[in-house]
Amino acid sequence: MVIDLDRCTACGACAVACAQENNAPFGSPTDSPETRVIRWMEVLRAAQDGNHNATVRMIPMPCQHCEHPPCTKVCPVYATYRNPEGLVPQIYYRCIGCRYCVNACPYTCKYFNWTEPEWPETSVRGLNPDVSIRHKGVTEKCNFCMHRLQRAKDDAAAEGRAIQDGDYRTACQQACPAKAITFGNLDDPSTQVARAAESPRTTHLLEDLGTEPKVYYLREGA
Amino acid sequence: MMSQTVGRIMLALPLFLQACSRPVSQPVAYNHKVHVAGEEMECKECHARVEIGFQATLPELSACEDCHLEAQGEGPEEAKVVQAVNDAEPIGWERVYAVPDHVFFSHRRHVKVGEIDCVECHGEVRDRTHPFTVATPPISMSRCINCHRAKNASTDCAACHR
Repeated sequence: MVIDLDRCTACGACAVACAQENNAPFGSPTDSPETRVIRWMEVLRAAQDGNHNATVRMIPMPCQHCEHPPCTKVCPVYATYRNPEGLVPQIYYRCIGCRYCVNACPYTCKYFNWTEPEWPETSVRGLNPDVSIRHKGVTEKCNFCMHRLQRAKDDAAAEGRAIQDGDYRTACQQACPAKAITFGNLDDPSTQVARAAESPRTTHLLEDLGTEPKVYYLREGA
Repeated sequence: MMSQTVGRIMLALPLFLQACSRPVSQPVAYNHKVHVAGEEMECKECHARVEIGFQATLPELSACEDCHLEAQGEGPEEAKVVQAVNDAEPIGWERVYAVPDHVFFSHRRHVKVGEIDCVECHGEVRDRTHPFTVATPPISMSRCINCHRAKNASTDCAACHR
């Protein structure tokens, strides 16, 4: 995934789309001060003090799907792992809620369910049947809309063709009005995302940790 | 927290197994043999969404309409179907196959994409003279995994659990 920070207007549409797509509970007023509201895609604020002109940089933060994920190394039950495609899934039913991975993730992209998820009655019909409901006591995170990937693969296979660039878009990418998010197969040099990742503006978050995140940020002066 | 989770699973397991194996009673004593072996009907004629969706779906009334607007025989069970067709009252078939909510099984992926014959999972339905009251053979993860390994299909957890 490539996120162009020069295009991003920090409108938050990606966070809303992600929450709706992946059945994130709204979170209660008591959850918020305890930072227990679960948002797989979050627009983080990073303040930068300049001389009399402080600027705030907004950074959309999904799971970074690292090439060397710290969370998978500490999981005692193989509930999170790096799969052959290079994604880092989280298997809720295997998770025992030990929260090692939550502490291991340098990007704070993993969230623990302290309570049973709740929705107002009017919202229940809007839940996505393709995504599991995560119960109290398990950890969850962004999985790059894996259910959409599977659907795209099935659609392609049913039509007897290979999956193509653009068959599969994540919810945040689809919702972004500024087209700041590009997503696809980074291993295939012909894809839009692989071309975007070669930009001279490319940067990673916390590059020095050696996690090799697969979310590339583009910004001028990187 | 960990013990709570383990405890919950332990508590839920017998319930889940029981739910999987509790016999249901079908409204009509449907005979697969007459239809599949006798009339040479294909599974997808009644289980219409088997190549399109996640679920194979239970037969719609329209599947019975073609032949059962009038009685073909003398049986009391068929009379129920004829009655239902003429009243346009759906027959309340009971589901016997259900996967837990953390499992995503797609019939399309197996039947259309994987080109697997229904018999491989559901057994010789064409020889059945009685309706299904329990999942036959029962669904279990080991069964799925054994088949996936044998056919070199994905054994990535995220392929079925997400």
